[in-house]
Amino acid sequence: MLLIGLAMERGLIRHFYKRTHAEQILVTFGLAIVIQEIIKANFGANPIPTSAPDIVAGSANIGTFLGLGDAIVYPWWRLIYLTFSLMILGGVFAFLQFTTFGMVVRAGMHDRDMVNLLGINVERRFTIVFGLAAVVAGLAGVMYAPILPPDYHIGMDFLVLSFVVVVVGGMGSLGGAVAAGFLLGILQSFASMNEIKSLFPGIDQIIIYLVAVVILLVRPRGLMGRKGVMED
Amino acid sequence: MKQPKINRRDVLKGGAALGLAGAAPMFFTRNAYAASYLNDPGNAATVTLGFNVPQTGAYADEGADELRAYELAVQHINGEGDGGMLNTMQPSALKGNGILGKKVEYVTGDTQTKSDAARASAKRMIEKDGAVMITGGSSSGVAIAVQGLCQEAGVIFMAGLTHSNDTTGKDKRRNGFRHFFNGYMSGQALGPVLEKAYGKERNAYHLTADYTWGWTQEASIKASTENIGWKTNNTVKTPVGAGDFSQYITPVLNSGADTLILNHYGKDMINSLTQAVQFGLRDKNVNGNDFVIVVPLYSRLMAQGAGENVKGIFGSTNWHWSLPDEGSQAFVKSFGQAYGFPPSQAAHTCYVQALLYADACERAGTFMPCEVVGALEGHKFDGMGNGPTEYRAEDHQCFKDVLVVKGKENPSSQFDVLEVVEVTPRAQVEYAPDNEFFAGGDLGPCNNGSA
Amino acid sequence: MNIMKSEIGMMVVFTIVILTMPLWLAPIGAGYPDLLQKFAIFGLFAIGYNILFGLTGYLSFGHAAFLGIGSYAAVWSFKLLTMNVLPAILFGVVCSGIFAFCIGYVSLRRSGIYFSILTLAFAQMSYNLAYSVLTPITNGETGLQLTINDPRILDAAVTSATGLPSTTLFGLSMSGYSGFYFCAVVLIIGFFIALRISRSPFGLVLKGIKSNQTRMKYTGFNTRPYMITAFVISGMYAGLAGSLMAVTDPLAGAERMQWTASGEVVLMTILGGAGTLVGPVLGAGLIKYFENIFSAFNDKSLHELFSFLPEILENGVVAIIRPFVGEGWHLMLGLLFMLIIIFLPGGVMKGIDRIKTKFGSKSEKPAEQSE
Repeated sequence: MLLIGLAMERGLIRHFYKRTHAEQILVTFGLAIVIQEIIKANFGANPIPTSAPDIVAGSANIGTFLGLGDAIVYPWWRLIYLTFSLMILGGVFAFLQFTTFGMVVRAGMHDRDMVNLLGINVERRFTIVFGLAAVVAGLAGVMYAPILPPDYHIGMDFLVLSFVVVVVGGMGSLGGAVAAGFLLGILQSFASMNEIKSLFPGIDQIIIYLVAVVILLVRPRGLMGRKGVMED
Repeated sequence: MKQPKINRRDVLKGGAALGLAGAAPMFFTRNAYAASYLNDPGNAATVTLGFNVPQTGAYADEGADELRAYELAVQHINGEGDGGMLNTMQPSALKGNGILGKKVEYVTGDTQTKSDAARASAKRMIEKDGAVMITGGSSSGVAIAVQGLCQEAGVIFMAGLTHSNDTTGKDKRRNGFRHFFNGYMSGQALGPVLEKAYGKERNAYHLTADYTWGWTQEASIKASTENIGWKTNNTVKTPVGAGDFSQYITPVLNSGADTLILNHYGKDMINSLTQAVQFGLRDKNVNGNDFVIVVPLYSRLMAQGAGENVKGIFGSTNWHWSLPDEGSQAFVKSFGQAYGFPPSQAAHTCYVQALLYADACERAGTFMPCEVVGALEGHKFDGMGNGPTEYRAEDHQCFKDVLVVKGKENPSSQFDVLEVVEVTPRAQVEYAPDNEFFAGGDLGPCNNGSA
Repeated sequence: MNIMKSEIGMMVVFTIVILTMPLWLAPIGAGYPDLLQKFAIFGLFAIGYNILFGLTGYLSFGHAAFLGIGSYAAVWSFKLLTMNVLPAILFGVVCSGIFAFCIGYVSLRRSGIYFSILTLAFAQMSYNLAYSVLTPITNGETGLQLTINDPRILDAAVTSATGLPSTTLFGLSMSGYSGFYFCAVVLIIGFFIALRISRSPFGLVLKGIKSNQTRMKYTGFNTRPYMITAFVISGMYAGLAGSLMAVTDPLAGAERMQWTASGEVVLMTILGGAGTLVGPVLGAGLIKYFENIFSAFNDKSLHELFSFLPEILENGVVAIIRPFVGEGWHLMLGLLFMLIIIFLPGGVMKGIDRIKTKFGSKSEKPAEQSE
């Protein structure tokens, strides 16, 4: 993943930092289609069943553990997934916030030319960040496979949603993205409850977008967006 | 009807007047002279069929299998290969020299599992390639959309995989025919098997894909399970392509239900089943009953995608390659020789549809749609894998045996994931044309199209 | 070269090129009514989109919603009123205009990517609702189709004995070539209006917004009404395109509103050249051509295509091309996107301009053409 991400950045994306956002999106989208089709040609279009290691198969009876009978049951794998993603999040956050490397990247995001003028090779750091982003996304995919058997089209299914989450969270803010992810996810589950659905039919189909609209109207840059990122 | 009407010839004249007719393309002139129906092959040595299957999107593998079956069918109709079901089909007017002496050619297209794209693709086959018949598809939305198009254009549509009641119910068309079974039949076939396996005292919870097919399926299954005494605990609609079904599965745990019925297909079914198993539903015991899951519509490709999780789970299917009858075996044999693995039910229904169409043309002595419709309506045949079958004239639905299957406990290969539990006889799944699940439609008159 | 500069000259050339499409597209296999209709309709869609995106730089990611609304409105007009296409088109344009006003009014409170996400959110909501709970109005997954028993109160005379009636323009059937010519005429009119808009004071304001909205605001200029007008106009173009889709093929499906459909028009506009007048039409044609023609190849047709080559060469060529066509046409499309974006920044029209400036003796400023 790191290698693929690095290669992508070096070969393609780097030439696009100076282009418009629309073109950046388009060229990566084109690349996504190409990769997706190559996967399809090799693995077919059918989902590939992937089971979690046997040791963590089955589900945890949290209810009994808390003395509530067997009211709350949750699969082990999802608990592991949750822990794991929290760890990754913490790692990425610490990396960007507490290391010099992270500081330079954040500065470069704000004003690339200025950082370059200071004699720091910001391009190389961006390459590494891009590679890391690919690694994180790849890990998320690997860990998710037992829950959602992967097929060649799985990226597209997540594309729009992750886009919405990032923007609602606010561009350039890791905390915002996490908060938006949690908020939208919880509201989605809430809207899927039968009681809510009978009150507003179809609410679970649109809740995410509805909340996104409301948040963006109330908070111009999403939950924790920074000024000046992706606004030109 | 003295209305101003511009036909293709007028347009052609206009084009010539512009002095640009030098490049007048072939199809302007191909059928310019008094043909009695659209895309009449006339004296041509070949006839063109259009195979419209999903090549991209979630059903691309099913589409690829359908296309393999069609290519095989064309070979067999043209007298190449080992003949497959041509040898077992009863009665058969096919001679192995094409249709009515014309060699069969075909064109292909991608439905993308979208109504618009499917119609655009079908239109290309009709308008540009001169196809006399369109067939294929792997979802009901597309089947109904393309069936409507073929009716308007005036060609025959032989539906591929489509399971919604509406295809031969509310949205039936005179020019359209469906060999595949439907949601109501699934319910009728599953009912008695479920009763035998799980008893009369069950409390069922439905998760249903929130669109037309899901609803008709849910209604059909609900009716037939309530018939055997089951209670329906709840019916919950889930958005198509939800991906994560956990928020729909957790309420099942505390609902008091002991049976989960997944009215999902394709990826939705794979995901919801996988996740339901992960939530430990099948390890539970409610009201003294072991918790069970039922998937009313199965396909082998889906079962492969869900892997281990399908073991022991009941469902229904149109056909399975392990059937021992002569027709099925002949088809499995030639398909296996050509491609190296057994065909799916989608491949089977498409193969049969192509043969049935060819046979009907042969019997009608023409490709004219209305004559072919006449030859197919009420046609009785056998030897094609599902026992004695009839294309009912009233709604163009095939009536035949339905298979109840179960996920195999010890599969011997990656294709061997389902075992046939029962072949439900045709009589048990038959219904009156005005059955409440199918009411409201009208075949209308047949359409030959304007040449 | 001056011919392209004058409006009349441009219109004449455009008109001739569009109306003779059946002739010059036939040799490359695209000269059949349905694809020609699609060219015209999506060209119109892209022209309208370009009024928003090309002139103001606001990237809407939900324009397909208006396309869908136009289609549904038109089909309902066929079902309830009459098979005549004019009321259907009018109804479609008005409905999508109203929707565009509501969505634009809200979305235009934000700019940049936040605007894009707002439009995306509205379009996805429309799509999800149309697909499921609004089925009584939209017929959900299956798509809204005509039935024999529709009321059609203005066409009482037409009996149902002949099956489904077809859409007409005062008796002229709207399928096949007549449908194409109708769409083509609408496209030409739409092109003319877009030309006028982009060269009008209103168009200048929009371009001013694109280059620096803040400065416009500081000069005391209220840009908001102009933005909303541009949004509504481009929404109405989309509605027009949607109703034309229903005119040539009376069916309206929810997937017309999905984000992939919105993305498609963005691709068309950018590939062709955002901000140019002809570019979006070109981009629309390019994508629709790929979708319809390249997906249709299979082993057999490829072998026929290259049968003029010696057999070994033929097999080799077919083996190389095969992965890119038929079920692999998406691969081709993805590669095409990348190639155009990488090597022709600004789209095909900008690329043509650059070639012109390089080789043309009477080279013009490249900016001249890119309106």
